[in-house]
Parts: sequence; C-alpha cells; structure tokens
Amino acid sequence: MQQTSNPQTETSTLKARTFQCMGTVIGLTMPVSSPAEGQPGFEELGAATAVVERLFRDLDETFSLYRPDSEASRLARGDLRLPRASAQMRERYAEAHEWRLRTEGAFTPERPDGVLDLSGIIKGHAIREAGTSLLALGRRDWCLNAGGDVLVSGSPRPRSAEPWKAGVIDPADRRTLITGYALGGNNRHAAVATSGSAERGEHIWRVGNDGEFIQVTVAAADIVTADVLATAIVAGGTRMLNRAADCWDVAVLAIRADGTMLATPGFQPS
Amino acid sequence: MQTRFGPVQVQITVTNGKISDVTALQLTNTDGKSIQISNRAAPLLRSKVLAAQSANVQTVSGATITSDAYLTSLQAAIDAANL
Repeated sequence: MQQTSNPQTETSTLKARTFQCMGTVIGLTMPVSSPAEGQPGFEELGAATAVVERLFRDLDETFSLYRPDSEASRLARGDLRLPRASAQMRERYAEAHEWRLRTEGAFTPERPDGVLDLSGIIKGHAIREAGTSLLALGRRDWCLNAGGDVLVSGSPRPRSAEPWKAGVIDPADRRTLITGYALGGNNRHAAVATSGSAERGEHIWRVGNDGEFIQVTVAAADIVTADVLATAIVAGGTRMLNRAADCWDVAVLAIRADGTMLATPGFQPS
Repeated sequence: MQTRFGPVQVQITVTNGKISDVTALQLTNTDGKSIQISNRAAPLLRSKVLAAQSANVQTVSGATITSDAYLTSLQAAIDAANL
C-alpha cells in the first residue's frame, strides 16, 4: 500500500458492503484501518451494514407497494384509511404533502389514479435514518449509496478534511461520468441525488412540460431535500429548477435529451 | 427580514389595509455589504467539466437502477474494488 504524505494519518483502506432492498442495491463504504477479515475495523463495517440493512428492510415491509401485505398496499386497496394508519405512515404522508406544497405540485405523493405512493420519499427517508443510526453507533466516516442516491459523513481519509468524491452518471452512456461533486469535507452539502425521466417505478408525474430534462442531479445538506428536488425538477422543468435554485441551498445539474446542460454555480467549474 | 443570504431590507406598500406590493430594497451579507445572490443555473459545456472533476470518485450518483442493472454499473465496479 502507498505511503501517505502525512505521517499522523493512520493508514486505512476503503471497504464496501452491499445488499439488495427496495428493488435496488445499497452500499456502505467506510475507511477501515485493519482491512482483514476477523480484524476489529473490518468487523465494524459488517456490524454497521447490518444495522443499515435492518432499517431498510423494516421500511420496505411497511411502505412497499410490491408487497400485497404491506401497510402501503392495504392503504392503496382502501382496506385501511390514512387516519387509522401507523404513526410512521402518517408522518411520511405529511412530509410528502409538505413537499408537494413547497414544490407547487411538481413533487406529489399521489399517482394520477389517486393511489397514495410514497416511494418517492421512502428511499431518501431510509438513507436519512440509516445515517442517523451510523452516527449513533459512533461511525464518523462513511458513504452510503442507495441506488445512486448518496449521503456521506466525515471523510474517506479519517481525521482529514478531504471530501468524498461523487461522480455523476452520463445518461447517454452509463459507463461514463459526466462530472464529479465533492461531498462533505468543507462543503456543507453531504448528499447528492439523481433522478431520470426513464426511472424505474415511474413515480415522476409530469406537470405541464414535455420532458425537458432527462436527468437531474441535486446536491444538498440532507438527502431528502436532494432526492425530492431532483424528482421535482425532472417533473417541473426549468421553472422548478429556478425555484429550487432560488429557495433552497442546493447545487443542480440538469441534462436535456440533446445532451446540453444547465448548472447552478456549485456545478460550474471554478 | 432574515434569509439564508443574511438580512434583507424590504419595503411594503399597503393599500386599503392589505399588502399590495413588496420590494426588496437591499440585499446585504452579515457585514452589511451588498452581495450578489444568484444561484440560478446557466449553460454548462461538457468540455469544461469532464476531465478534472470526474477522476478518482469513491461513489456514483445516477437515476435509480434495478438490482440487475447494478451488476454492470460503475458503482458495482467501485464496490468490487473495495471488497
């Protein structure tokens, strides 16, 4: 392994663990000081991943519309009414409804057929809760990626101000990156989320624009804001992009079908 | 009024007991100096961003992909390198 220039920095290696949930893959990456199986640092990653996985699975059991027996499915069928739903279901509905107001309808928790669909907010919520749990476990440095939505804490190099570097996928060629964005470190933005017009689940309902952007990436201090606004801008086009840039502390990169891009100052090269 | 850009002085016009107009008079930062606050998006050329900013990333942001699509993704390659 290469010697680091700072002798006070303990040598560490990035290690990752992944699992499948919510129809995608979730990965937790942490710098590990003893990167061998059976060593304390390595086991910490395993324990942290187990906590994150448990949290995602519990939320999926409640909120998945792909599980006929979930609380969300019972609500969708009308077997259960919202006022009688669990506290966490009502809280997420309230949060999603709040976002609908803030985005003037560009983000909505209801499908066109009227079925309540909170999938647009549950993954972000799961990432947020997982981050809180990791901090409670005493884990300071980590990067959590759930299907392309990312939340980080600390640094890939412990006790340094070095940020985590996130790449943004090129929608025209998913094997390449179109740009990068520094998360954490000295940047107040610790989260980045990307939405696309051809996204799985199609929980993006357009509000009067003809698919102006095929991919929108939003960086913010928290993952739910980044995730919801990325979804809202795909649905709402330039109008929603300007509203997001004016009203929230975010950086936005929006890509049109012809490959041209719009970027707020955070995504412009300095 | 307080905004995330610092205090903003506004003038309101009241007509028949209702606010009929609000005008921002001055935008200031905490030192009291006027600042420019535009966070609006502007066109970005691919050639301006590609090289420097996409090198050596530790994670990848993209539209949600299925578990199957993950297998051939850049993120899977990065995760595999960190196993």
